[in-house]
Amino acid sequence: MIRSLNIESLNNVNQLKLVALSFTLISLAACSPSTPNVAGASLAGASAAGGFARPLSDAEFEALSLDEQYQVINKIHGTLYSGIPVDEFYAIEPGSNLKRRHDDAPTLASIRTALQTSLEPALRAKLDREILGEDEDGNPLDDVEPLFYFDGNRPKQMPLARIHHFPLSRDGFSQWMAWHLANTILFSPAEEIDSADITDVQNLFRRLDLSISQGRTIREMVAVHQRSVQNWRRFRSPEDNTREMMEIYLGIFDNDAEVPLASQACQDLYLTDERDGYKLAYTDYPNYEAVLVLDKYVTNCNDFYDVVAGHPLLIPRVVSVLVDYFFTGQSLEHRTQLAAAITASNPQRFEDIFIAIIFSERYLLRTERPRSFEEAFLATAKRLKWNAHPDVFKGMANGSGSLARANMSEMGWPTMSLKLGRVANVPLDSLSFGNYHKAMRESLLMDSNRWRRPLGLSGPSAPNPKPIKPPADDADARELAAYEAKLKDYNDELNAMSKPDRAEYDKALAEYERESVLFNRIDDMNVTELMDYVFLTAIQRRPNDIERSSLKAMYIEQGYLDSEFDNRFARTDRIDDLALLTFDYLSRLPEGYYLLRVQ
Amino acid sequence: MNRREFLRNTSLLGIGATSPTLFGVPGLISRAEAMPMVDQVDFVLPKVMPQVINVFLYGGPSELAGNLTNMDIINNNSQNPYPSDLRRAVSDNEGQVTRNGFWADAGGRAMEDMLAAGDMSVYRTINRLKNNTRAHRPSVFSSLKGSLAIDAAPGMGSTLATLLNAHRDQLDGSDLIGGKQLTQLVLPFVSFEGSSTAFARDIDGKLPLQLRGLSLDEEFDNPYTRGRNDNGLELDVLVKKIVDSHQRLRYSKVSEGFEVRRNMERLVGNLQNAANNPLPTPPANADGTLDPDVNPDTGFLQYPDNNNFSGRIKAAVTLAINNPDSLFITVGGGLGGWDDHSSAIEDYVPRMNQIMESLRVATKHIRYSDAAYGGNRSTDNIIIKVHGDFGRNVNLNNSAGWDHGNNQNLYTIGGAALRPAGALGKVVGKTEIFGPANENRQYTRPTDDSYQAEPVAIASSVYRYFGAQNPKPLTSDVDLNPKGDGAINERVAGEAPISI
Repeated sequence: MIRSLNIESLNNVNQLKLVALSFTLISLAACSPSTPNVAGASLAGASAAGGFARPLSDAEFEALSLDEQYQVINKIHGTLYSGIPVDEFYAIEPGSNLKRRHDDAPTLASIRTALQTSLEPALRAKLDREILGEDEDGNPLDDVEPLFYFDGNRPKQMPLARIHHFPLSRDGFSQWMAWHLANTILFSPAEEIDSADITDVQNLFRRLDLSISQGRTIREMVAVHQRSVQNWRRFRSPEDNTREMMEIYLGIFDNDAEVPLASQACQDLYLTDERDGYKLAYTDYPNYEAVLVLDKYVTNCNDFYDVVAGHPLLIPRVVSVLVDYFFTGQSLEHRTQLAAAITASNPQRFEDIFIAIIFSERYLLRTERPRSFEEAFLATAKRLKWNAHPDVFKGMANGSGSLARANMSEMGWPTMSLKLGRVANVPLDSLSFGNYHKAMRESLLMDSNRWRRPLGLSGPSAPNPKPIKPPADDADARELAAYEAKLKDYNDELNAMSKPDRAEYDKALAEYERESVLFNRIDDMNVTELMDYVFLTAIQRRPNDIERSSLKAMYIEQGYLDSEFDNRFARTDRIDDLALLTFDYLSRLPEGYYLLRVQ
Repeated sequence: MNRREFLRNTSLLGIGATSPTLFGVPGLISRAEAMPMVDQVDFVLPKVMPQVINVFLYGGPSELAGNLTNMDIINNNSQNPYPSDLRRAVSDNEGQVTRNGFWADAGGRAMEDMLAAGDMSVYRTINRLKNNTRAHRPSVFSSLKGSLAIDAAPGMGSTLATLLNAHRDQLDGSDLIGGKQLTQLVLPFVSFEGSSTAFARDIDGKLPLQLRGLSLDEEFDNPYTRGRNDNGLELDVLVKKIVDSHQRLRYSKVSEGFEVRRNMERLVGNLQNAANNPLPTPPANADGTLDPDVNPDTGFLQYPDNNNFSGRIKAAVTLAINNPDSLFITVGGGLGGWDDHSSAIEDYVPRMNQIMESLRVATKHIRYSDAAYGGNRSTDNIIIKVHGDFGRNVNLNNSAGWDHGNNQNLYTIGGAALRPAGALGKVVGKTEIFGPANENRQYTRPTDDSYQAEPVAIASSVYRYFGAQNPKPLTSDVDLNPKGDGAINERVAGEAPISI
């Protein structure tokens, strides 16, 4: 019934048109060169945002108190779905526990550098193999469990696994940016609608990640996306598609007069029906009449897409969409000023906008907003050093597996699913928050088996063969001889190991020694220091006097403290129970669900 | 300066020079909300307390399921042809046009049943003239907020709550709400769609916590429980000491979530029990045949299986029947999209049929739960309203779909105790086609002699049921709709059945 010429894709056309894409935008002069350098602002034409969106300087960061610095560092990391454990920021050593910054603690500068630094390809490949439990040839390893399990929705799960497992790097940052964009109105693959499926999620996400990694500009990315079959599976007729492009990318709603004209320009394209696989096809009836849309004459859909991608409103619009997400709850006036300031820095790439937002003084010190579930769960998991449950991303992305309680769809926060993307405000209606709180509390904070040891709250187990403890200084001859004999057996066992087994053993031994050191230092903490450690881990502040006295009374009642030392220390075998009770309390505090303002 | 002039001007300048202007454009930065003029409303207690279930079909459903009266000209002018059975009566070789001009397979048979039973009326001319738009966002927002001030206005559920709260002196302790205080009502405002625009708040946020929208899921799943809660009581005592009024204000949304959690844990448990009870048993038909919505094995009513809509509609009706305190319930989202730009007929027909068959069971669920049939209360105060963003083009485009239109249907069901005589069991409104033949933009619109109403009139009707004698101020705003819109006129005569 509908006469058409099917085509596999419009990629060839896209490439040609991209080359020819001409932008009419007038470039801005760069902002003040004295503003601190930030990552991502190096592309020609872009500069660090100033004014209302000026970045927090290193000097301002250094002037903050130690705990404020920890909050700021974790605000950045939390935004990136990550976190810095307490012992990686504070020095933990007898006499000055949690009183000074660790020598290797991250700073603003080190984070900026990390976000600009790509992983070595070999390392990245290794990290992917660890996620999947595969060898270098892509075969499953018999004796190594994958870090995470996936199912048919892997395209929604894998990005989170990478964001979680990759160290802070340009690779992880790129995944995170693509994740954000694919969840906004700007690029959502809209998997919820009939014509889109998980393959569209995969292809769209991959294209975003590649484009970001390759330094593509915003205008290039929008130009390519508009022409994609994923875009047409979301907005499925010329009228729908052209209307939405003007709304989504230019913020022009109510442009009903021009929609039919734009639609006329795009009349040569259509989406086939379900039976024919929802392909993007030519009708073979192109438009030949130039029509005036957005003050430009266009004849075909490529012309129209070029007009949108080159339009002066594009950058202010995408900046505004992202500002709305990160500064939700801020006044209209503030958000407008922020968006204007970032736009004035002439951002070329999405990275420029994200960096301007995340490192801005306004965001880091003065903005407070509810955390998304990813920002809460994954950031807390990192600070807890949570030995991640292998089903966690199946649970978060689509509610399958044994962590189904973490299903973000049940929190009104589905991923890459909604036709118009996630709303800017994290849904906190009673049902959504009920699910959010329950997942945070029961799947993470109460899951002590997965954090007690890495967090140094219970003694680690040595790998087999267990290392031999050296004799005491005053050991007698018999004891020395016994030690020598055991040491020989131990070394014989090590020498008998294959090379890969020995490598694994050495890794486990190093982990054991590291955990032993941490455990011994935590065990030496008095109860005041221990409470500080647990509070900082969960909510990045120390307890107040009421909390100290009330919780200490509960610890005593539960038998967690050592009465032999006047309850000034926790009993070694109850430190984890003490932390569990404390985390249960902290899971009930509203502040834990917010990215807090520091000032 | 109009839009075109604005765009022309901005394209002449660099971004930096125009940034402040650019950010004044609607759609770039979302705005805050403010409460409409509740104090201008003349409020009189209703005779019975309404319970309204607002079913919103996101994406904008086509009106054709409820209106095939213009099908000949539609088919003649469409770029692509419609099936021929859409121009034949059901009595004519399996045609699709029912007695009142409904699309038989697209829920038309169920609609006819509800019309004949006096359970439903169809308004065919909900037509947007003020600030006309065919975009989703302004259409959804204006419909669910009952206002054209889509950024500034709160949701219609919040406006209703504010209206009632402003008249607590009349409501508190009255028989209408069972002698309770308004703030003692259990689950008065409920969403079955999670966070809903219908409960968007006013910026002042002065509404008591008890009158704000709470959300449930259709399974009455209970995420409000806490496992491993041995020290729960002691910890909650400490939490109360720490989370003082300052913190409650600072972290208001999450604080509210915690405050309602314990109540919800118990209430949802009770609702789970109610949902597990069997539905009523309708009397046999006069000819002795079984009601088609009865399970022959159990004799109880049953909602359709394998139906995307029945679960939520059943849950909303179950809540309304079992909890008279639930005054305004929203259902939407997750009901499947109605944005049928492509492959429309093959998707729309079964979807529309599913919802109408679910609604037909809902009407019986409500009726046979009434005291007249052995129930423990009157249920003729329960109203269901079904509407969407907008109607759609009637041209079948080259993707075999319908693009955004304007004129749409309102399906309004039940609530006889709150409506004037003759309000149910009729079809209101006549339509005609306009737009050039063989082009995409062809719509229906009300004929010159037809009744018509703005979409915000639906919200106005809701306020009217609850006692607002002059609900116009609640739908008004200074810029776009200074006079506001009144309630839908339910006394308008219905159309005669059609003959083709």
